[in-house]
Amino acid sequence: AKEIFFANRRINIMELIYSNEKSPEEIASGDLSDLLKVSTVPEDKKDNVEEEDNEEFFKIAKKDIESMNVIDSTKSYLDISNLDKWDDDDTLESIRNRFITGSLEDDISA
Amino acid sequence: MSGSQSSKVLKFSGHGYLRQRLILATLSGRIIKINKIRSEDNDPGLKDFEASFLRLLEKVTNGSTIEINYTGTSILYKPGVITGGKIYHECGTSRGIGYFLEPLVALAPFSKQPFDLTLTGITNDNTDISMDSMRTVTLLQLKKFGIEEGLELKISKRGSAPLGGGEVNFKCPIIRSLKPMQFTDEGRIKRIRGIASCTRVSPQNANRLVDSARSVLNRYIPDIYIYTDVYKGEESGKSPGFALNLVAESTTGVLYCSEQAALSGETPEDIGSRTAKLLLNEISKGGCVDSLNQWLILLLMVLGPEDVSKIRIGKLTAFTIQYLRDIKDIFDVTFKIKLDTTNNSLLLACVGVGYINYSKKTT
Repeated sequence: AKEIFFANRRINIMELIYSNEKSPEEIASGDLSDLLKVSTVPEDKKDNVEEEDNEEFFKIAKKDIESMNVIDSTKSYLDISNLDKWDDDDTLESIRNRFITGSLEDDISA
Repeated sequence: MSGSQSSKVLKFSGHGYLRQRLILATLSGRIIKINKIRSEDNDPGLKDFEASFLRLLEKVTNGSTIEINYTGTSILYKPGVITGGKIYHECGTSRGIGYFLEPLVALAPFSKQPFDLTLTGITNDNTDISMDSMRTVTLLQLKKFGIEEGLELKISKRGSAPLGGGEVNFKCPIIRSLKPMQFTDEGRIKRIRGIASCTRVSPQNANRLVDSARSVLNRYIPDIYIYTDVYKGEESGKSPGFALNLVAESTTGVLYCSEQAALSGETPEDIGSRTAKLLLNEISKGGCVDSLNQWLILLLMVLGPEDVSKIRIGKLTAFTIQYLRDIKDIFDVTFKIKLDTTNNSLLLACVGVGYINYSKKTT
């Protein structure tokens, strides 16, 4: 059962990334495991929204996400907004084992 | 590429991700059309730096044609052959040199003549990758694929925003084909290096950058060395400024980098601690490549020989996700992506397309 579970999960990540349902920003900002849970649900919701739209004669042009402020740079994704967490001792200690000075025992449990 | 495949025009829309689409098209030889470039904007069409990038792309290739419509909101790009050679380009001051050089790093190894590219403009700013990070991290990624000798990026003049005045020289050898890469062991951080640079300000600022970064990082590891790089006179560009670049190296050769340049009114202490915290952020994400260079590693994996390449990535950035989609559209290569539940990182694997640079003779 475990194997099947993980096999499904793998397909889901690939679907999530390769299907154009969500914008890259949404995927990158969220937690992966959360997104995997949600990603299968909203299929039928979408259809309803489209029908409602058709009833009106004039449509308001949807703001294209791509036409908004996308800066074409790899660096713009370095997030400088939530750096305050690094003032906290616990957070600082949490990556101790990523350094060669960290203890090896904790590494196994982590 | 087969004839039927390359004759079909691929369509994209939006001004975002413009560079990567042009680069992928050049490598694959496919014709692309990009529509809706700021078509709803008050100031529609291509911006000056995008037009400048197109001109640069024209300089490094031969036979490519770029058709831009009257309002500049759509481009049709027919790629030619990558020729390289000795090229000079003024990058202007709306974007850093990184905007122009970063994507070309992926083209350079497959050129007819080795690249000898001189670019002028802004070397360090907060929008684009700085030349220090290009030199200390991005270019080292190429080494993992077998591109080593003659790879060089020299910062002959530094230029801070807004006026720039910097100059860099990029040299890259050509290669016939890449090596496949298997890189899944991230190791542990063994040392941290960095470059604190300043232009047209007191050299003391560089020392203050070093001290403040050290105060954050010293608790982890003693092996920290941050160089101070002070440019004077002609070599220091037209604007005052200072910047810090930090690179953490692991036992297996993984490089994590972070960088920040000062905006007006910020103290060296602000920049120093912010850059250090950004570096910790990168380290906490894990993986075998940092956020800035994910795209390059993935692209080179795709261009590699028809063999499996594998990489561990901590967290995909939005930029990389779009890159994966564009790679799929243009090269028709899908990565196999697996979540490693032990540390929540992703394992990405793909079979390369076996890209061969026919201009390089086998010896």
